[in-house]
Amino acid sequence: MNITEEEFARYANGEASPEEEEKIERWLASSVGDMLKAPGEDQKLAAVWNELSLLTKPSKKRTTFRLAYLSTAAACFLLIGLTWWYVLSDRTNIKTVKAENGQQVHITLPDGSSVHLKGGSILSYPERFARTERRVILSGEGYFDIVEDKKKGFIVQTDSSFTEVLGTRFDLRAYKNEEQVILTVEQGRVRFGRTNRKQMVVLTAGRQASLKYLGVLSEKNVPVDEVIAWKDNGVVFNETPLVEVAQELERHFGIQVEFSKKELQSLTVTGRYKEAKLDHIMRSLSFSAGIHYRYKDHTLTIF
Amino acid sequence: MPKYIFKLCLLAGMLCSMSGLKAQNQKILTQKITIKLEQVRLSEALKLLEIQANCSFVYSNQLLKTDRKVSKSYQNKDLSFVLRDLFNGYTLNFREENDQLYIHGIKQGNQSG
Repeated sequence: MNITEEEFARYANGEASPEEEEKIERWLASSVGDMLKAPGEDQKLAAVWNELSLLTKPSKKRTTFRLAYLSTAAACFLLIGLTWWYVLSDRTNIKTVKAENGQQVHITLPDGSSVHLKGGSILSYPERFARTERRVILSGEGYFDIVEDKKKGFIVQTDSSFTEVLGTRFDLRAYKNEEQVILTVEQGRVRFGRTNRKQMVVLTAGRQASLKYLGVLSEKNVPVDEVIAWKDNGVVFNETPLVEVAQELERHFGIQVEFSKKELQSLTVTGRYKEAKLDHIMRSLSFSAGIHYRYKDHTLTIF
Repeated sequence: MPKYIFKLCLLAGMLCSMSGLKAQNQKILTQKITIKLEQVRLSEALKLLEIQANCSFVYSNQLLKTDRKVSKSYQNKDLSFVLRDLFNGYTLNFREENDQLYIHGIKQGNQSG
């Protein structure tokens, strides 16, 4: 049995034709009757009932009975309608963009914000943002330039952290194979912390927070341009152990890096490269750190 | 005796041309440095030197033990002099490539690495 909202509105206002009235009452008796006895929701029902009793014209007979049905039905309609509206308007396709190792991907989000995705990273975002917030999910590293919207916060979710901003520029690094999530703020204010919100900090420009998967949330000042150099094809090592250098090279150049001498992995190096080229980086590290390397078939072996 | 003088001149000439050659390839290392360091970590000192010499260094923090703190003062000295003095007790080797200076250092008497 199909009852349109218009029909029901007419019925509620006492304007329905006798046929419609009968149809609706038959429907009410069959489908909603049982629900009348359902427990809970009493207060909501009472509120709706009150509203309706003001709207509804007093009718000659069975008024109370009809109103009781009416209130239940209206509540049901309201609930179904709201749910339907909410689900439909918020249901949107989720897009997932992946930057392979050796690749960088630029994304413009539905609100005009931009994300620069580093090699080995994945970003998921809705084709259309929800009404109350702009939420995306990141694995890996991304540089975010977020358009300001004071009413709709922008949230980046990772495995263990959340990052919340209104409009700002920041770099978020949350690779799954690293032991911490690192947030660096280039401009504006950012709220950052553990997903459960038990640990949280507010950061401003030039500040960096790192959140260990098991442990502390700490913050410090950093040279932001070095942190975000990667987006302009730069590579920066700052007292970086070779094992992390290797990961960086894998992401940046899409190669495999192997160590034939494991003890070299902890050797720390420093160096900044504007236009990163693999042979240049390796030539300099080889000289400065006294290491040897061989590059063949996309595999770099350090020994 | 004249032979000896001739040899000496030749040697001097060779040295001159070599140092001239060296100077050409040492734009960074001959940068003049004026700096005063008070209980500054070597890693931090290197960053300050990079700024003054307008270049960037590549080095191993571990090999150079850059966690150590130093108190030194230099007035209009070559970068190479400053670096060798800061890393006194280390054998340093340099190589310049564009605006980068690669620094390799090993603690004297330690042949590993």
